[in-house]
Amino acid sequence: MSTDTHVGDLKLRRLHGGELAGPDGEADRAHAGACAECGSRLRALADEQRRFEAQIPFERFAAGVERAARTQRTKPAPATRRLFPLMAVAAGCLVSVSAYTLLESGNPGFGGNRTKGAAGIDVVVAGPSNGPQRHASAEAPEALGPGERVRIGVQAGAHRFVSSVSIDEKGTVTPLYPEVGKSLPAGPGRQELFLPGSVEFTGKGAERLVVVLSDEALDVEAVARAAKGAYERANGDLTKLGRLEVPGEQFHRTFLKP
Amino acid sequence: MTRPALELIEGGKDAGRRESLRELYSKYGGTVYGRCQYLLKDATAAEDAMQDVFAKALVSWNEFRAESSPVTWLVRISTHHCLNLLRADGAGWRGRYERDQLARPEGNPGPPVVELRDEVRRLLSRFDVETQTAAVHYHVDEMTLEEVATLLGRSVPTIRKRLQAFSAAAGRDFAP
Repeated sequence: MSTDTHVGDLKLRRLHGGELAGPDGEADRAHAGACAECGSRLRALADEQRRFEAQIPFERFAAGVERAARTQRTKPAPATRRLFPLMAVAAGCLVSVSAYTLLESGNPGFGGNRTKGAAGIDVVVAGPSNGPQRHASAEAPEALGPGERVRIGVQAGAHRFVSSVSIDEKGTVTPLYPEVGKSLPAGPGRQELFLPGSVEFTGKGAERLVVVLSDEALDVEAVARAAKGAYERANGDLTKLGRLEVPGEQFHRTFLKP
Repeated sequence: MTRPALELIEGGKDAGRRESLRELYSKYGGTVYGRCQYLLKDATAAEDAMQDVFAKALVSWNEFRAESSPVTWLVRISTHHCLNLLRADGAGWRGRYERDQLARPEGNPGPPVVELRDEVRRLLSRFDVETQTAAVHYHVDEMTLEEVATLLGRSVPTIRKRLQAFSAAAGRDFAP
């Protein structure tokens, strides 16, 4: 530490934040209280906070942090957080394999045409612990529990590309697959493939998931803009969200976040 | 189609979230924004980075509140986040610093009075992220070697070695 006798910067910040109130901080508190230099630095921290508040009002701060939190929480889980989801994925695939057999007899979890070689999606919901999984309903909003994630299975049929976005009640669109760039390659074929990772929708209210299967690669930003347009045409009612104005087949699911 | 029943309840959660944001703002805003400004040297980028850092705290609120030192957690996360942003920016970072140096006012002849933290900031681009992080925590946050080692999950000799390399590059007595 550069300062041998004075209280270091981080400790001063902790003192300023009321974190060193216990016996462990007694010596630092005593020093800072008696030392002119440390006292001056403590006052400078108070000035720093005042300048911050003058520069960035609370409402702007809160809106910005909420926006950033929404983005963070709807991103596919990063690799370091996929330990459980990957285990869930394995189970999810098993569930989907059996669901695929059910598909022929009309499994309600699988959307799309039931004819041979047709396209569709299967959204599997998995809990935060190794519990039971289920298929998200294609007919009604699916209520999600705390920490539940969704994993998207795709049967591309004759299509070659897949992209997916979600949109919340406030009209915030989040590109999911891919996060940037062109659609992911998928199929063609009858085989059901799961998109990598899993997605946790957080916040409150409803969230609409849209999966687009297309014959050409789409820019996910264009899909996101189309989702925003559909949201505006539906007057912000996600349950009435219509077709996005992009080429390809579309599949929608609505979730109710805990 | 069923309307979302959860839309109608949980009004208390909003209030709680607002309180959380208010607490983050009034207790830690200056510290986090200051760290982002120090490293990024750009008000807009610093505000964006600060929002990302507080969003992490908000998303993991229970874990954040369980931290023995929220200040240390925020300083660590904001430092790491900004250094990663700078790394992603690559050559742009060094280029901007060189332009800043050239743009120093001419009415101030002689060697500029550079505070230690500015000198540290200037040297960061020469090193890997771990050395950068160690240097910032040691020289700017004035943590001890042991504290830096604990924070970064490294041994004290490893951190000492990193800081000695930093000191050598500086050509001045930064040695721990």
